Amino acid sequence: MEGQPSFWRRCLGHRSFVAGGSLTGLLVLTAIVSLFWTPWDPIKQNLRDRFASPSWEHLLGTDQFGRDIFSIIMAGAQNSITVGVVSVSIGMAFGVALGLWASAKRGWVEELIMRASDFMYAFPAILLAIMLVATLGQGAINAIVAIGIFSIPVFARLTRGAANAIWAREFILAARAAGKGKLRITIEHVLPNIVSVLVVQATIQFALAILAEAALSFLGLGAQPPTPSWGRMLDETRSMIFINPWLAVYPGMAIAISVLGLNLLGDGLRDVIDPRLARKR
Amino acid sequence: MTLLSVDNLTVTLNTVRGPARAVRNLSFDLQKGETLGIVGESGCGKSLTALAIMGLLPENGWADGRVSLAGENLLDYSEDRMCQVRGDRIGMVFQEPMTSLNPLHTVGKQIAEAMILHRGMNRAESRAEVIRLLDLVGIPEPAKRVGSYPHQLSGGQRQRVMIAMALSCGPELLIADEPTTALDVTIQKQILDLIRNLIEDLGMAMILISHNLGVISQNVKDVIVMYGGTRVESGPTHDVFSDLSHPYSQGLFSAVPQIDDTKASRRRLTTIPGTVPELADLPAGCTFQERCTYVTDACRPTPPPVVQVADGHNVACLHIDEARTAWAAR
Amino acid sequence: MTETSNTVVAVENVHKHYTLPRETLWQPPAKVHAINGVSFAIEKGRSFGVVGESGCGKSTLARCVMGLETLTQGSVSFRGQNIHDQSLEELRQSRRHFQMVFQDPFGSLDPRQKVARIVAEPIEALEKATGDERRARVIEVLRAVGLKESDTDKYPHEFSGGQRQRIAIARALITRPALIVADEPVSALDVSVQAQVLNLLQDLQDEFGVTYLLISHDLAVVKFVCDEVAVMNEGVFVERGPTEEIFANPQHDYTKTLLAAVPHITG
Repeated sequence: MEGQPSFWRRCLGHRSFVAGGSLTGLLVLTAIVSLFWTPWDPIKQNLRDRFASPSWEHLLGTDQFGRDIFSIIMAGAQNSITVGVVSVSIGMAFGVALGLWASAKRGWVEELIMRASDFMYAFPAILLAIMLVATLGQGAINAIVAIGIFSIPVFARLTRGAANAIWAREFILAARAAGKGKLRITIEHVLPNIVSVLVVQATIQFALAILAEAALSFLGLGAQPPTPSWGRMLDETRSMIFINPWLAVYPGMAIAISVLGLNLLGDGLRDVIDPRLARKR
Repeated sequence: MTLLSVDNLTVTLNTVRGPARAVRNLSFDLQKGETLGIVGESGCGKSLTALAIMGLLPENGWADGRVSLAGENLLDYSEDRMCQVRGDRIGMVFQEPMTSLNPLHTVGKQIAEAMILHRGMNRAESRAEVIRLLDLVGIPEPAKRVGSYPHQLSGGQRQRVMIAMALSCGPELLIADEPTTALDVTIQKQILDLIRNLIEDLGMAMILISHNLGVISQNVKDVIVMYGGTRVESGPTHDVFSDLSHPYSQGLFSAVPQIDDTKASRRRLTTIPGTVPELADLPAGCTFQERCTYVTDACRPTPPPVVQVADGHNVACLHIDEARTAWAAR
Repeated sequence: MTETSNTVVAVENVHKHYTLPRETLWQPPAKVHAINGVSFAIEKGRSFGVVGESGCGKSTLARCVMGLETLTQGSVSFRGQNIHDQSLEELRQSRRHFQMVFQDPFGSLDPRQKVARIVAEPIEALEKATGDERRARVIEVLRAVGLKESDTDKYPHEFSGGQRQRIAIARALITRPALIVADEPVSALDVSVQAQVLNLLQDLQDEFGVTYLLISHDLAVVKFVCDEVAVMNEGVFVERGPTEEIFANPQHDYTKTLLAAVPHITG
């Protein structure tokens, strides 16, 4: 059997994976660290020290309320991570289940689920999220739920496509011949064989979730003050562009770097996983 | 006249575990108009030999030695010069006609490709020639079939198209790598008969590669048996098969259920113990040593010498006498 | 065709037609007549071979006998019980008595599961056995096919094609089925490995009294393994009888053509 370097070896040898992994790791680390410590309290206002320039005390300066921008950026990571994790989890939990069900049952069940997914797909994601938040009300939790809901069709379609390919393979026929029922086959054979595809999509959805949350917060529909949120920072600093344009750049860069990191990670994962699948004969 | 002379050909592949020799010091000559068969199981290096001759080795492989076509070493040729040789002087037929043909182009276009490239024909001129070729390979209604796509043809017909492509420029040498393995047995017979007749009519030389002893036995004048990248036995086909002298050749023969076996059909097949080792694990001495019943210490350090047991019939083994005695007594 | 109490499987006038997807809107979809009236019975401990070229319907027949396909017409009875009359649950339960070995040693094993789990699958699905019992039976059956206990913790990609086919045979054997349907079990294997697996099939029959339905395009393989053989073409048996007779004295033109096309080793 042709020897292959282990999965992790190949990951570490892949540039996108390493770059993306580092950036994502930085994001996660920042969020975790900020739970326990930030240089300054991101919420407490200090009006005497407004619009300070960057210095050793305030690495990125202060905002219109005298709050340390660096600390707010750090704390904002928590919000982004939370949104990413929870909404992707919602999307996967329901989307994967629906996709597996559609693939196992075929027939009208599959049609129904796929057409429902198509229907949701037809709406631009942000519009859908806005509609949902408008219905459910503002706030971080509702934003997360809305983003989670619009992730469901993505996973449903992906899962069903990947699962269909697995159902056609001979070891599934062998399992049927051995007397296994469809539910057990789905859980024991189909799901483990599509996990890698789902993981790649999850990282991409994570990035999309962060962007979506930023957009919602920018519109005032996401995390409400005083919870730090990068998107809302963009909104707040919009009116101060003429006073201090840099204030808008910092949150924008934070979003951009996070999304870039996640996308690179997803690309790297896909490259590492796919040639393995291709070479598996 | 010697058309192709392969001299100490060694193909090395860069595997995950380092460079490994997939073909070792292979040498043979092929005269104009003659047919040679290379037989062996998967991993023995027979396909890589063909690819080395064509200059089509994969990226992680390279060839050393000499492959002389009418005097010039093909291994020294640049890619551009090799492109001129391929299709024009050497034609190749592959195993899987469905994947070897582009599903998006008509068969007419694909057959004409080589002619347009090497003979400078334009489309109109090539069309007449394509029809002639399709007829030559036995496709019914050739004028209609020029515009067909590969998926509209049967497996046998697709293979005929591949043969037409390989012959389109009248090459001196045809290399057929398992041309009938993917086909039904009745179609296989038709295709092999077709190839044999065409070779004779056109005076071409042929290298036929197969793992099927029956196919080799009936279609080529000379045969080389390969194992682990080395030639273990070679000679005129009839002589070799009636007098198998290498333990591997004998083992291979015994392992195949024979259809015209007149003995009781429930006899056990004699198998070769063990399995083919990984390329990187092949030993330095005789490549067959791990599985051979006659192995001794002398077999291990260096490759065995080539011994001539009859006119043109050569065997690379230190224990030929024992093997032959046991074979005659079976 | 007489059915005795020794008959393991009886196939009666089976037809199987498929409807292809529509090519155009205004024409009815094309139909593939895969099997057009096939009947035979296999006695306990015997080997029945079905030989034919691609497209003749033999693989479809294998799947129909295994109850993996519905029949357009006819019946398949296993030990006197029509398998399509049973409920899905009953059919699932009776699967422990007939098992299948597939052609592709690479595709028929789940690449994500260890060998122990793959081989134990039929017991897991159909019988109640404790973890220890299961493990013991897995080891027993792996030994029977010539593999080792240490192989239970490995993944399929760590084995060669011939070894994977042995694993597939072990899986088919673990519930001690009365019938094993083998669909081209050695076609994807090298010659020397093929011989090992064929010998194994013979040995298992001698040891466990398994009945075989062997599907193959390779006449020599069928001749070696089977007592009785049927030649299939375009969905029907054109000729059927004891192996020796069919090969020595073929009656039907198609059989003669088939036999004549096999390249012999002269010399």
